[in-house]
Amino acid sequence: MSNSIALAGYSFTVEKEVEVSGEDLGLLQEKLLQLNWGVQHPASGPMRLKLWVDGDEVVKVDPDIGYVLRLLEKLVEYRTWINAIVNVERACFIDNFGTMTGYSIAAEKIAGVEVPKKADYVRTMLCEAGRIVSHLIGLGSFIGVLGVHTPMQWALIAREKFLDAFEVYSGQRIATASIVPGGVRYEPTGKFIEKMVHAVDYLEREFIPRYGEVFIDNPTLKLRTKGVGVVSKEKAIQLGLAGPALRASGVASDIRKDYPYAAYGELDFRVVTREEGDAYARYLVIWEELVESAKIIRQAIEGLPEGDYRTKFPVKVPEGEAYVNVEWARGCFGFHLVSKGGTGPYRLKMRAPSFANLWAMPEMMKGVKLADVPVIFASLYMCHGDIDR
Amino acid sequence: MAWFKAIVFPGFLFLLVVFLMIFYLERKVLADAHLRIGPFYVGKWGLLQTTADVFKLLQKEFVIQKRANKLLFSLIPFVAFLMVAMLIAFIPFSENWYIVSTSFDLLIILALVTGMPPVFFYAGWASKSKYSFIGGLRAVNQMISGEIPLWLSALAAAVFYGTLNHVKIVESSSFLSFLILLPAFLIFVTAVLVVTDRPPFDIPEAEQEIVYGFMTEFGGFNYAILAVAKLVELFALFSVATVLFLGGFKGPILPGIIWFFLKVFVLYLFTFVVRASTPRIRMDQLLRFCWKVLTPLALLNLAFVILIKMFIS
Amino acid sequence: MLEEIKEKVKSKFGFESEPYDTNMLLIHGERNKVRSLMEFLKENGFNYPHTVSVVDYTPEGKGFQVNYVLENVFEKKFVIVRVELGSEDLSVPSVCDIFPPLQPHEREAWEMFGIEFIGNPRLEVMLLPEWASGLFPLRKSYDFKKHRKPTKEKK
Repeated sequence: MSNSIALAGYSFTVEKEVEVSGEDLGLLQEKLLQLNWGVQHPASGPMRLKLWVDGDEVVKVDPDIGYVLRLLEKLVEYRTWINAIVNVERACFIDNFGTMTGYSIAAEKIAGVEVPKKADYVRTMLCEAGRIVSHLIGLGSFIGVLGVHTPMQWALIAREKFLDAFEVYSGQRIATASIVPGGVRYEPTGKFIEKMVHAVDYLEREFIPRYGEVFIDNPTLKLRTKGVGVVSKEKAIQLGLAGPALRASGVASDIRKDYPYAAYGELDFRVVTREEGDAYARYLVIWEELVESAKIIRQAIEGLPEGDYRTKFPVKVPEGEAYVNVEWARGCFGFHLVSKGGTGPYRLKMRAPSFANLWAMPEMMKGVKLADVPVIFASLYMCHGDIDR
Repeated sequence: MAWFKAIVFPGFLFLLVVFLMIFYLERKVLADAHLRIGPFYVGKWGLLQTTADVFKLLQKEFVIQKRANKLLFSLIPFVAFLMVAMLIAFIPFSENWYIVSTSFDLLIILALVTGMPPVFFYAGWASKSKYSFIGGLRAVNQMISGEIPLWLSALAAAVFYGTLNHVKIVESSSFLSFLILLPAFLIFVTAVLVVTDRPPFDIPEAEQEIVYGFMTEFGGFNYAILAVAKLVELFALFSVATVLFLGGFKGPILPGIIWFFLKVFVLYLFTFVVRASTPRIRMDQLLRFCWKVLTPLALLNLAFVILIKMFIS
Repeated sequence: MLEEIKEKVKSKFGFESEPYDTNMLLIHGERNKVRSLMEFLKENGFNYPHTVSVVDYTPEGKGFQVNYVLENVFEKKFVIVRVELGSEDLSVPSVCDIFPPLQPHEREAWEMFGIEFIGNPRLEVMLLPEWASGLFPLRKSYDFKKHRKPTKEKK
C-alpha cells in the first residue's frame, strides 16, 4: 500500500533535482524571478500564485488552484434531493446559507413546490446573517494582509454572536445544513430570534462604531489601498468581476434587487455601489453592506409571519431543469440544476463568483508592486472552497 | 564589580528578564487592543509565557537549509547579537548603573546601529532563499534611508548638549532642553521605527508578501538569537532616545532606574498602539517619506538647534 | 426586450428559442454558428458572461449539452445559449476571445468533461492534479469506485 495512485496505474515523473546557486536567484541579473505566493504562505490560503517579478514589479501572475477540490458537483449526483444540501453548503462554509438557499430554490422550481412565507423570511434572515459573518471575516482579512490583526479579532468577536444564534437554531455553529428544499429545517424559536437580535445589536452598537472609528478613515490604510488595482466600470464587466468587486466599480448588480428571491422583494434595502473601483472602494462596499444586512435582518424579524416553516418535498422530482442565481456574500452564485425524474439531482453546475474574480486577477495585477499583490488579492474577496468546489 | 555589572545587573541577566517582560507586555497590550486576554496560563497572569516560548525555541532542531552558506548562516545571528549587545554597555540606567562610560557613547551607538543593515542583508543572502534575499535587500534599503534622519536628529541633541557622553547629557538635561529638542525627539522615534523595522515600517519581514523576510529560513535557537538581537536593537535605541531627549534616569521621588524604565516603557507603549492600529506601508512610500519628509525635517531641525545653541552659549 | 432578441435570433440565425424562467431566454444554438451568435448577443448588450455549464446526456442516448449563460447587467436579463453535441465529436469553437472571462470556464469544462474548445489557448488541467488529466470525472461514464483509494489493510 505504499503508493495507491501508482497502483491505480498512474506514474509520476519526478523532476530532476537541480542545484541552485546564488546567481540563479535572479534579481541581480537580467531575468525574472519567479516567486511562489502560496501554498504554504501566511496570506494565500490553499492556493498558489506564480508571480514573475522584475525587481519589485509584478510582470505576470498565474494562479495554480485545485488544492481543496472536492468535486462537489459529482458528489451531489450520488445524493438525494435533501441530502445534497450537505455538499452544496460546503462550497464555502463561511456563508453556507446563500448556497443552500439557491440550491433549494432551484429544486423547488423543478418540483413545483411553493414554499411557505415563513420559510422565506427565515431564509432571508439566515442569508443575511451569513453575509454578515462572511463580510466580517472579509474585513478582518483585508486589513490582516497589511499586517494589522486587530480588525480580525474584533470581527471574530462580533461573528461569535451570530454563530451562537446559528447554534441555537440548528445545533451547529458553522455547517448548519438548515435550509432544505421545501422550506427551512427548524422552527425559528423565540430563543433564536432573541439571540439574533442580540447579535445584530452587538454589531450595530459596539462593533460598527468602534471599527469605523479606527479602521475606516485610517490615513495609512487609505495611503496603501487608494488607487491600487483600479478597475473601471467597462473593465469590470469585461473582466467578469463578481459581487462586491463589481459593485465597487459602479455596476449596481445585485441579484437580491434585480431578481428578488426569498423575501427580499418585500424588504427595504439599498444596493451599495462605489465609483472608484480600487481596493479601498471594494473594502468600503463590504463595510457598508454590513449595515444594510443588519437592517434587513431587523425587518425580517419584524415581518416574520405565522404559519408553517416547511412543506413536504417529494422524494421523486419530475424531469426538468432550472437556472437560479442568488446573491451570495461573495457575489452572484448560479445553480444549473437538472433533474431526470430520480431521487436526486442529475447534474448540478455551480457558478462560483470567487472563480470569476480569481481569473480576473492576473489582468489586474500586471505591473503592480509586489507589496500590492496581497492587497488586490484580499480586496477581491475570494473563498478558496468556492474557487475549487 | 565590573563583571557583576556586565553579567548580572544591569548586564546580561537583568536585560534578559527585561526583554522577556517587554515581550510579555507587548503581547498583553496587543491582546487588550484585540479585546482578548493574552498570555494567561503559564505562571501568575501568564508572566512566564514568554520564558516558556524561549525555552521552546531553544529545544528546537538546528535546521540549516541545504543550499545555504552554512558558515555564514550559522554565524550571522551571533554576529548580529554581539553587535547589538555592545550597545547596551553604553547606556546609563541610573547615576551609577552603567557598564562603560566614554566620551564617545553616542557615536559608538550610532556607528554600531549603522553596521546592522549589512548583517541583515547577509542573513538573507546566506539563506539562499528568494524570500530571504528580497527581505535582505529590503532591509538594507529601508535601514539606510532611516539612518540618515536618525543620525541627524541624534546629532541635534549632541550639538545642544555639547557632549557625546550619556551621563553628562542626562545630567545637563532640563525641561527647557526637552522642549527645544521635542522636534528632534519625534524625528528620532520615527526613524527608530524605520531602522528597527517595527510596524508600520515592517517591510523587510512583511509576512503577507515575502513570508518572513531575511528571517524566513532561520529556526529554533538561530531564530531566537536573531529575534532577540532585533529586540535589543530597539531597546537600545529607545534607551538612547530616553537619554537624549527625555532626561534619562532623572525624576522626582522614585529611584533613577525606575524612572528610566518608565520612560522606556512609555515609548514601547507607543509602538504597541501603532502596531495594533496602523497598516504596513509600501516600500516606495517609505522611501519617499524618509527622503522627502523625514530627512529635510531633520536637517531643518539641526539648523534650528544650532541657531539656539549660538544664543545660549 | 427578450422577445426582441428572440425574433432577431430567429430571423438572423434561424434558431428556436423559448422563455426559460421569468427573466431568461433559452436559445437552441448550433455548433457551427455559436461564435457569430455570441458576437451578436454581445452587441445586443449581453456583455457579462456567467459560466459554461455542460450536462452529460450519454446515458439517455444523447450526447453532451453545452450551456453558455450570459447576462445583461444593465437591463437585468439572462440568456442561455444551448448547444447540443453528439457523443462522437466533442468539439465546440471557443468563444474566449469574444468573452475573455469564459476562458477558465471552458478550461474547467474541458477538464471535467473532455469537450474540446477549439481555439482556447489553454486547455490544461486546472483543478485536478496533473496525473488525473484525461479522466474527465464529471462524465456519467466515470466510475469513481474504480479510482477509489484502497482501504488500509488491517494487520
